[in-house]
Amino acid sequence: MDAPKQLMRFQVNGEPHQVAVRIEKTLLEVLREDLGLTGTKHGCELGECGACAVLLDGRPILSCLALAVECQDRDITTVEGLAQDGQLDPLQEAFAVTGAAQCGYCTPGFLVTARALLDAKPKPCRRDIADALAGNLCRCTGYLKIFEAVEQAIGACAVRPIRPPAATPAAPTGGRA
Amino acid sequence: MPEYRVIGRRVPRPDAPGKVTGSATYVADLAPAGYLVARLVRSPHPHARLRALDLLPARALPGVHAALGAHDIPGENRMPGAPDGQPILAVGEIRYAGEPIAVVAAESAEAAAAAARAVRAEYEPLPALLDLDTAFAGRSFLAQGRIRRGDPDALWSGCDAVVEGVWRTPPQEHAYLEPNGVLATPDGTGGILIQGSLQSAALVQRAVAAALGWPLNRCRVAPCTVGGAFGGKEEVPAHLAACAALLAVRTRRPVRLLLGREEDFACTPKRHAARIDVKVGGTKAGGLTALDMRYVLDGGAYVTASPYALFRGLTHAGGAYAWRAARIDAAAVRTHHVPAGAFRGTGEVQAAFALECAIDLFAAQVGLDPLDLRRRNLLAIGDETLTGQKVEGPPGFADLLDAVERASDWRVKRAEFPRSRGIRRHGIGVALWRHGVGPSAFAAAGEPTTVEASAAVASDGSITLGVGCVDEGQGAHALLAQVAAEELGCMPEDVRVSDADTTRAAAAPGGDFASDALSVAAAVVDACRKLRTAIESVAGDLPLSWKDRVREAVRRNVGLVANGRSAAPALSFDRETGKGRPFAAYAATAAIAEIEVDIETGEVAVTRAWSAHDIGRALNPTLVEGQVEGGIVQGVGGALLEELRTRDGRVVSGGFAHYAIPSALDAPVVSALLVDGGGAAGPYGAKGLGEAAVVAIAPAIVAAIAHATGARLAELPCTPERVTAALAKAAGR
Repeated sequence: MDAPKQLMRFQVNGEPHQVAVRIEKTLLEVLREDLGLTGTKHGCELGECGACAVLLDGRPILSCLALAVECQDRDITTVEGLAQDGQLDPLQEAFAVTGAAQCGYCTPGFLVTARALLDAKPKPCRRDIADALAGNLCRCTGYLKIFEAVEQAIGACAVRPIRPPAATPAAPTGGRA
Repeated sequence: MPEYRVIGRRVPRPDAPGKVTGSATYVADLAPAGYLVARLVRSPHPHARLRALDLLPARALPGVHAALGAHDIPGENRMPGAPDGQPILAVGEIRYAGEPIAVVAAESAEAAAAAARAVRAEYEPLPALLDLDTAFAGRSFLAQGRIRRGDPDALWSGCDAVVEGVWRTPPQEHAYLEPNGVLATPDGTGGILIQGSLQSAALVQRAVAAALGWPLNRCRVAPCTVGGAFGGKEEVPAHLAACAALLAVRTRRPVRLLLGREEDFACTPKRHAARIDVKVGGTKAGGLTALDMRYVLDGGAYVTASPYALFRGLTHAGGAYAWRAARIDAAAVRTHHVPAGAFRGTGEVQAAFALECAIDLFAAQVGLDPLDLRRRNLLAIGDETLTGQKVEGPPGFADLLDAVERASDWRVKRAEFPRSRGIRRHGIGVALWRHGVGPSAFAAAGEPTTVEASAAVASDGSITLGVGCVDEGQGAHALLAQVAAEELGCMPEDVRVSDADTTRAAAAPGGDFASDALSVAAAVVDACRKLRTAIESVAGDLPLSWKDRVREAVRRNVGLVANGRSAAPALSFDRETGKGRPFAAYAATAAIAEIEVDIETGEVAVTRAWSAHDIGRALNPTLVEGQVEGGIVQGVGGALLEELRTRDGRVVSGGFAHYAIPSALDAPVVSALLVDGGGAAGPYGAKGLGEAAVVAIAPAIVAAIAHATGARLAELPCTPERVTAALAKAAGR
């Protein structure tokens, strides 16, 4: 018995994709299983840990709670899309150098969430950073090196948004910050 | 101290690029063609007789390839080394809610879930033993031990002050961000490959071989990148791998068995819950003389790590202090809870909480500053510990206390904070702990006591290390590459560390990173020195570069692989007499916590923490800070937030919504203060660190709450409900 599928069109990391997806599939499942983008992680599948965070039209959402069919014509950025022209994003550089990635499982979710923060607010203070990252759990670092990494990246990337603003305005559905 | 070229530097981790780009491969990222999804069928009852098990309804479902029970295990239905015969799949008696009774494999997660539901099991529920005190009273023991030094009963009457109390800690979940998981793949040549998120490849290999009834060399284990472990990925991956291997061999397909988050919370080992009764006596000048402790752990349904936890608790029970007399009675009781396991600071977190809280209470009783009181009672060189071991190296305790006192501005805050009025009260508290590092006298059955490592140089001069220790995320492999680079005179990036693959790796103990790093590093040093000697002896008279020498060695057929060893020193511990030399070396830690209590809501926030460590030389300061900061925040979670709750033996706080771990908003600013007190356990003057970081912060927090409010909490975590109740009790006095 085949579940109903829907043909979806969306941009992932700047590339257009057309995928026939089962309507009950989450964005996380489609990214990992249909598009092979396994950088985004399953942590709880309940929207509690932030390991599955991706950017939807530049805003962080939990891809385990979003249905893929909600993402028609929208723009998705995963950890694989942060590097550009073979150059790591300054956040990626900073996470690597400061030791902000220990086991690394939460790292992709932190990176895209921090990316959205810096795009919206290029010079956040420590409190802004903690607020923005409060939905992403890390069990290894105690968060301090993550804060330091974001602060280190601030100078390096204040002027460069990761991706041009999405062509379509952000719709209010599908995303949960 | 000698200066080193690479050691002591902040060398970037070789795994960092993969982790920040999303290309690091965790087990859930592996999806080989034609793989099947496995699922465990688990008992809902904590204690029951399994009267009948019918797998046929599951096997009949579409997309289902196998449904197996205990009778389908061709080898031994027993976890490796389990002294109580803990089965892989239960047969007869069920001993905890969530115990696996069958395992299924199907073409999709949905089909596997349907198959698991279709398995018909008939249970006869039995009365469950779920209370630690009842289990203790009924002498339901998994393990016991004791320490005797003099007779404390002869001293109480002569004490100016005696304090006593009961301290309790709850089961704590490891809460690694990556749930447990394994993938078993038949290799087409009569062997099987196990990949997974695991701490001990050797343990997994033994479990798989025993379950299949195969020799070890047909069972290859190659760990994936591990998304955190903290002690929680020792027995579980072995258990899962045995199940996945059975299915893979039966179906001749790759089989992936991943635990969901709630299943991982509900069914895998936790930190032992504990009840610890402590009585401490001493003089009004602040001299500690007598200690009486009853240390009881809830070991859960099977032995697993309880003897190890008991060993660590017992051998550390006296803390950093010199006692004239002490009596420690320790037991791990058997209940029908999920088996308890190793967890960073195993057995010590509980003992440290109880003892250090009692010390703080004693200081208050005699009216001394708790930091000064500790200073008067420190173990010194030549003193005997409670196990009769002479303190050999400089213990560094005074340096640690000085470091945290200075950095935290302790004197001023101790004097000023109690004067604060209003709803938000501030407090500051301290705790101290002595922690055995490196190899220990505890040897689990079948674990090698000698650690080996290999170093191989390729024809282009690049180096590969073969080690048996897995990098759980702390950077163990980065550290080992640094060690090899130091020894061989190359750069860390010229060295690759094997992924603890059993076909390449040498023997190494699993899990305990603190000893892993030290013992494995020592073996790597040995291997690299042999390799260097061999290479340098080639054309030793010619002025050749390292790479040219390697080429010359290849030309002359000189061996390009060297094996190194690190033998455990002579250690002993007798659980009957409590005597022995349980560790060759000790590290120490002092922690100060500064907190804010809202006296209306009972909410506590840790605002600052100072964590001083005598760790010898820091081989890589970035990694050390990462261990300290991460350990402190895990400890803050244990102190304020974390308690796995059960009802009728079933976990009811599974998942992060019901079991909060610290978020970015809960993390205090942590100052890691590193002190080199000497007395090293490993190469270059290094000591272990990963475990000690978590131990001292909870009692420091509880002491700070008492400083802020006068309320003394005796049970973790310090939830707003408990703090409010303690405030009311303190006000009523």
